[in-house]
Amino acid sequence: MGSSIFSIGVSGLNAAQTALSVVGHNIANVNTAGYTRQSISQAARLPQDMGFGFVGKGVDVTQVARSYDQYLDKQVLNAQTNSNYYSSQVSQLNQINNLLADSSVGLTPALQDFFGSLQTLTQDPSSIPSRQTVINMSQALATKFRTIDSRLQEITSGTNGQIASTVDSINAIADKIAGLNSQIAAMTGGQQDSVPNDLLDQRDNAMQELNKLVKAKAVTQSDGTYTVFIGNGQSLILGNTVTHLATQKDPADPTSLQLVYPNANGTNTLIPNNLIDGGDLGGLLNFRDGALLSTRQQLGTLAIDFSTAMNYQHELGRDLSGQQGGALFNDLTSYASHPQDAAGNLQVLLSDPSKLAVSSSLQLDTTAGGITPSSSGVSLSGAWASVPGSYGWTSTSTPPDVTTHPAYGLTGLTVTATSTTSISATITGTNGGGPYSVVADPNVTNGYKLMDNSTPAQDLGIGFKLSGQMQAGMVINIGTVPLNTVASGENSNLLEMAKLQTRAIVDGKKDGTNSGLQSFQTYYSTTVSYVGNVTNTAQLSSSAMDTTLQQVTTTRSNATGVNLDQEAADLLKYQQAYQASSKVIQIAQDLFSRLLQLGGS
Amino acid sequence: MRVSTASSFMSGVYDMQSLQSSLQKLQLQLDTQKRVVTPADDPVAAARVLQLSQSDGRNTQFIANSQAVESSLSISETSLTNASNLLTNLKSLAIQAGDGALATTQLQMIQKQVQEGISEMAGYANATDGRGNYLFSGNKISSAAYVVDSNYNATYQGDTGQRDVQISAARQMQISEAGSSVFGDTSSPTAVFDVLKKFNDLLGQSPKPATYASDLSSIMSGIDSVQKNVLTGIASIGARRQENDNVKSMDEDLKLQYRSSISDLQDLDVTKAISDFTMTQNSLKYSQLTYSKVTALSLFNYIS
Repeated sequence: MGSSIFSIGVSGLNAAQTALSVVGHNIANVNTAGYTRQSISQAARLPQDMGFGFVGKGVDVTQVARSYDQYLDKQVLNAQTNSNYYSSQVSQLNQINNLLADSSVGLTPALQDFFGSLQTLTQDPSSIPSRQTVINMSQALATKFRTIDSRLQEITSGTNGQIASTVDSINAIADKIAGLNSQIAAMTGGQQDSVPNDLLDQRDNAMQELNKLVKAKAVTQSDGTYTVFIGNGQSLILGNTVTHLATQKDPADPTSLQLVYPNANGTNTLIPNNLIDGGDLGGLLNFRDGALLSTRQQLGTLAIDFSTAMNYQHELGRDLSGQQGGALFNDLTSYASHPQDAAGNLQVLLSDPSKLAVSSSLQLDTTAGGITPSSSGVSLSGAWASVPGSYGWTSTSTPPDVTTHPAYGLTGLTVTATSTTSISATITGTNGGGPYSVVADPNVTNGYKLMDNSTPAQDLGIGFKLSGQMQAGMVINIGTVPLNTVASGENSNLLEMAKLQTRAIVDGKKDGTNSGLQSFQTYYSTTVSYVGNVTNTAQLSSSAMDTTLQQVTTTRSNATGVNLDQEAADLLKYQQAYQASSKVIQIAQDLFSRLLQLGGS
Repeated sequence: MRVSTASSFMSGVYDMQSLQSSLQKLQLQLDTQKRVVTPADDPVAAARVLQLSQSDGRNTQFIANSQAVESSLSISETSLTNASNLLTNLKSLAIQAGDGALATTQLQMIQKQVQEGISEMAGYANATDGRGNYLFSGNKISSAAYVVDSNYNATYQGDTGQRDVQISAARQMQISEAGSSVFGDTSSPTAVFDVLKKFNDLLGQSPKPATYASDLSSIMSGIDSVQKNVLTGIASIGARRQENDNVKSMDEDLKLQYRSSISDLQDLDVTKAISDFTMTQNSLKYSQLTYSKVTALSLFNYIS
């Protein structure tokens, strides 16, 4: 009887001691990442049948369990991977966003300075200093294009570096999880009740770390190990085996890294970006092949369309020594199919200020009769060729070619007026044709322009102005200025170049429809706005995901984390239980010694 | 509801972090005095600001162009006004020469004045702008408009070109006159010089030809006719100067509008920003206070 009280007391003492250890363990791990609160379960021992009834035999500790909630844990993993997906994009996007931020350092002032220098030159077209300014401003603009692009290239290579190191980190964490898998399997030995809680916590915490880098799903196997999948079912961890992810150079662009999954037979399977839709890795891939590439492509498209159009108009004019204009910028048309590489290659070809083709190649042809009747007193005060209304091209069509312009190889242009408003023109020469209708150009005093025969009629690319108005019966003969002939005050080609500043010429869609054309500045503004929008959206998503992560983390922590007040209360509770069990042992001892005293007297 | 110790620490930290981030953003806005610091702050406004700064830059260039136009046109106008005054003087010489009582020596003196007049006229017709470009030789600005030989035969070396400069988005302004239209007429690009040479030649004939009186009267109507051309030129320049001036003041108005639109789009409402800053600052202070109070609560404080 006495020994039974003794053993009951001891069982209570042991249970309280175990409980105090667990409470102490909880308190010690209050700040351990991924730690979940542990608690003991205790149960009364099997009672003994004494005939008159069952008498209890004390208490046993049956289990030390962690407060783990699989559902809450999954929510945290999901929120974590989404949060990192956006936050990694935000930090990258901020770099481009800041690059384009200041309106005083972006492309806008360089574009304005370039066109401003053209305008200044129109005032005094033969001035060498003003011509030199145009060349300097062209170089400044080209340098600005290259500087912005090289910064974008730096960001690209930085992102590729981060992708490679993220893949390394993923493999390292995968190794850690695989290690924990084998430890857990060895320690549980297939038992479900007795599990190493702290190792499970560590493994779940490692899963959260993994999800920061890439979206990964774990499936628990019967031996307690996790099988971890990424993408659309590529297994990263199977028991204690890890398939290490790798990167390889993109065959289409060797500076770009692709994510690959090594197969058992030694070959690599490419993992497309859309399968990696979470974590830092997903964010980096999406940023690199999305916003970053797009920004470089837009900048490149602008460089291509700008240089091509400026060259086109420049090549229609004549320079200060009466030669046909050459290319102002290098030809970027070959980049049309991969515009991201264009902006970094923009160069100014012209260095001699006298080679700037400022004047027109067209003039009154006196040998063909000039203006008749001569009694009209009206003279031709200028004739010029310009970029036609039908100008435009896409990456698939052939680039605009100045040799197809009606003024190219022109041998004669005859304008005939049957009345002041009914005027027609025919062109002879390489690209001759007609009759074309001639309409007044509202922006030029006594100016007229030729319209082509398409519907609706578009500017053919030839205009002229008179000292008076067109009169009925008037015939004007226009021809090409002979080479080496210089009219140093002629500035019409320059005026046409300056007009390209606001002309809708950039084809952002490149879909062959030539619709939605934008001016250089508008297109650049659209690019800036695009980057702003993408960054803004990512910032909003990131902050929403951070809030979600914060909420689910708090919920999980509230459910499974340690509360020190609770532990303090438990400490008191089990301390009292310990003291009470000690008292039971003391009483059992008292009873026993009393018995001994009885026997001894 | 159960609250874990970690989460009571965490939520306080989250709150303070988000307040600090708001404070930082407000501080950046106050530092730059801009509401839109990067395109992400307001993508639409950022794009609009870029377009407006181009319009503003272009407009500023147009104002500079207008000033250049004004300078060219005013020099041309002065030259033509002088030329017209000279023609008035020469016409009164012609009237004087019609006085039958004048002796040959007196006619020779008038002839001398006419010859001086021709040289003076050549000076006006070969006027240059501040940069040394000839104003009245069309587009051949590097060669003098008229060359007058020792026999007072004039040749026009220019062409009929007229130079334009863009002074607003939709207006090109003609800044040069072809000499052939102001000093010439439909029949000859040198009409002014032709009639003056005729005058000179007539005065040089001794004895006077029988047709002296009728010749003189045709010279006088000739002077009238060329002066009319010159005056038409002056009127045309005057009209352009006025239009240029109007366009310029419109450009200057536009400049103010562009600047104020840009300011509306990107500038900061400072009062609101400062008030937001103060509010956020107070919130942060209270967060910090409650954080220190809440985290100091613990049952362990009472277990001895």
